[in-house]
Amino acid sequence: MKKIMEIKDLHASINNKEILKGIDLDLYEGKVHAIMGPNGAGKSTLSKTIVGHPDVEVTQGEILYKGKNIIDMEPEERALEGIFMAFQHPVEIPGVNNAYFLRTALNAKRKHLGLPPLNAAEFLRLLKAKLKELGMKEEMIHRSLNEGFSGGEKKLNEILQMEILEPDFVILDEIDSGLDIDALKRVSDAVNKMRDGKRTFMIITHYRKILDYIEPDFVHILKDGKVLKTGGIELVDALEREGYKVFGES
Amino acid sequence: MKPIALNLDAYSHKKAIVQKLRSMGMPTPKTEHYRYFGIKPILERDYTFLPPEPGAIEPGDHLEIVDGRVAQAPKGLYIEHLPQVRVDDSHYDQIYYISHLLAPATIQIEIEEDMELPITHKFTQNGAFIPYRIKFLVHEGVKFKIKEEMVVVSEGSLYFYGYDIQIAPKGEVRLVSNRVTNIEDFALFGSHSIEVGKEATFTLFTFDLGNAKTIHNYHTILHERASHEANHVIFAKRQARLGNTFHIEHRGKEATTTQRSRNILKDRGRGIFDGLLIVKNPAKFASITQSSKTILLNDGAYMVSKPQMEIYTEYITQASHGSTTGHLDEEALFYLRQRGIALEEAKEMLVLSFLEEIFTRLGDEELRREFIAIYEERQ
Ligand SMILES: Nc1ncnc2c1ncn2[C@@H]1O[C@H](COP(=O)(O)OP(=O)(O)OP(=O)(O)O)[C@@H](O)[C@H]1O
Ligand SMILES: [Mg+2]
Repeated sequence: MKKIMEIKDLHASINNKEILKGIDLDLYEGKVHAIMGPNGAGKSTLSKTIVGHPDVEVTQGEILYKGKNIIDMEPEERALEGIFMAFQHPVEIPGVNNAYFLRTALNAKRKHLGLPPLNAAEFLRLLKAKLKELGMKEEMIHRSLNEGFSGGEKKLNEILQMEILEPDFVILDEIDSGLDIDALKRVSDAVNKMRDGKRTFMIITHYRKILDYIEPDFVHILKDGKVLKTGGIELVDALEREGYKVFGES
Repeated sequence: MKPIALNLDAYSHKKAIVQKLRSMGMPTPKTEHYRYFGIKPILERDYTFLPPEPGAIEPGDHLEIVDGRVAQAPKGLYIEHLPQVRVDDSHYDQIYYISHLLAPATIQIEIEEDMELPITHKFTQNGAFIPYRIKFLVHEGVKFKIKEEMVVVSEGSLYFYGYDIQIAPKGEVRLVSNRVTNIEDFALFGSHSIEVGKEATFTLFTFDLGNAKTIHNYHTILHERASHEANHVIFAKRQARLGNTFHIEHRGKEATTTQRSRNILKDRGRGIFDGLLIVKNPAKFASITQSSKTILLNDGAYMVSKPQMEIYTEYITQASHGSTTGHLDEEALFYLRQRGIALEEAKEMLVLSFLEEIFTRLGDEELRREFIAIYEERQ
């Protein structure tokens, strides 16, 4: 197994408050890593640290991605290197057309890869096929980015972006929250279709359901800014029975 | 010549204007609408006074005014040069009267049938002080569209210009002003008076971009059931001061005014959106809206946003009023960057989205593209 990302003794703060308190975590190429943990454990903070959110200050440790420490890289450079995060709370951006945004993002990526840009017509063709698979209404791509989207529609839009941008390392931060049963199935199908043995997924969730559809290779339990336990799906069974207390204190 | 040292005695043939100016006094840094503009160093400077004299007019596809002189005009446009015209007797801006006083003749054009008129103003003289005036008389029910552009290559100069527009009942005037300046040492005062007749409309779009010192003062009078929409975009950078001030008066009942100003300020740029929307006592059932939104791209940039309403009637159909100032939305910026869009491009997307409402209202794809190109160039 090849490591795509190694997180070593990672400490990070938001507003001078330490949230991540020494995370050690290895993520493997082509695998699905589930991350679970109580509210406030630092799951979203960990994702934000990986993608370089400006609110997060890394005070110690490193994140090696494809062998390179990415701590000092700009968010857009990390994105172009293949790191994608589906936001727990996607931002509404009035006035930025969804399709235009996505084409700009795709063409930035294509440029980075040395490929020619897609024109509007080519792009629209690509987009329409994906929309249909996800069960999204076509009019959504002509609206402003996430503006007035329902909670579930926002999540689907994140998945749409993932499919179009074809990243190597995908973080899904509670992608399952707010999705109805059918939408959860379609999202899971989309993820499973993208599991190609190379692409790595980090799936943050509170619930077992999504892990029934997208079977994880590893399950990590995060609590109070540290990785408490790493194992397989059996950890989820224990969790379902007894709650987080089963893992004791760190 | 120093504009501040204007000798009114020399203009006895324009008695009414001289009287008006004597009662108002010269503008000073304390004059309300110039308070944030820094008028003093501009008016105290010594310029070569170059009042434009009418000359030969070439036929062309647009109206071209070079340093205040009509150089080119479409065939069939009937242009007069009038040494004396009737002026607005209640303008709030002294420079309105000064420009009428100093301009040797007003360029007057009657608009008797529907037409579109592109106007290019060229400012080419260095170290000059040039005043000129343009007057449009728009006949009843006539639709008149003006698309104005500016070409500035002049340095160290001061220009006074402005429109007097009289819109007869049911007339429709749409003025789109694309005012790009890229010369820091350049000052332009626009002082305009627009009288919107019964059931007539006046729609204004202005785009001020650049790093010069420009201010436009609008006195707009609305008669019964007249409607006025004013959309302003300001993008000021470096040491620019770009402003719009206004007095909009509802004189007749059931008139409508909607004002929007969208301001983007960078470096030490300053934007001004300042003025009064006045609803007089007989002007019942007015609908009035003012909104000003500002994005500061960095500290040090400054927006003066002081839209105000004065309402002297009890019966108002609708009145709303808002002014906001902030930075670009950090979360939105991050979202775009997380998708691989570079910081500068992400900022630009957000800036343009901020102007989307105005571009949508403008409905002119070409102008939008022009703006984007200029915006990118100006970064
Ligand atoms: N901007 C912020 N300012 C202050 N504290 C913050 C900020 N962002 C996060 N925190 C704190 O950091 C801690 C971890 O938050 P985080 O969002 O990473 O938790 P989480 O594990 O994702 O929780 P949930 O399951 O509820 O999404 C919380 O105590 C939270 O209050
Ligand atoms: Mg979270």
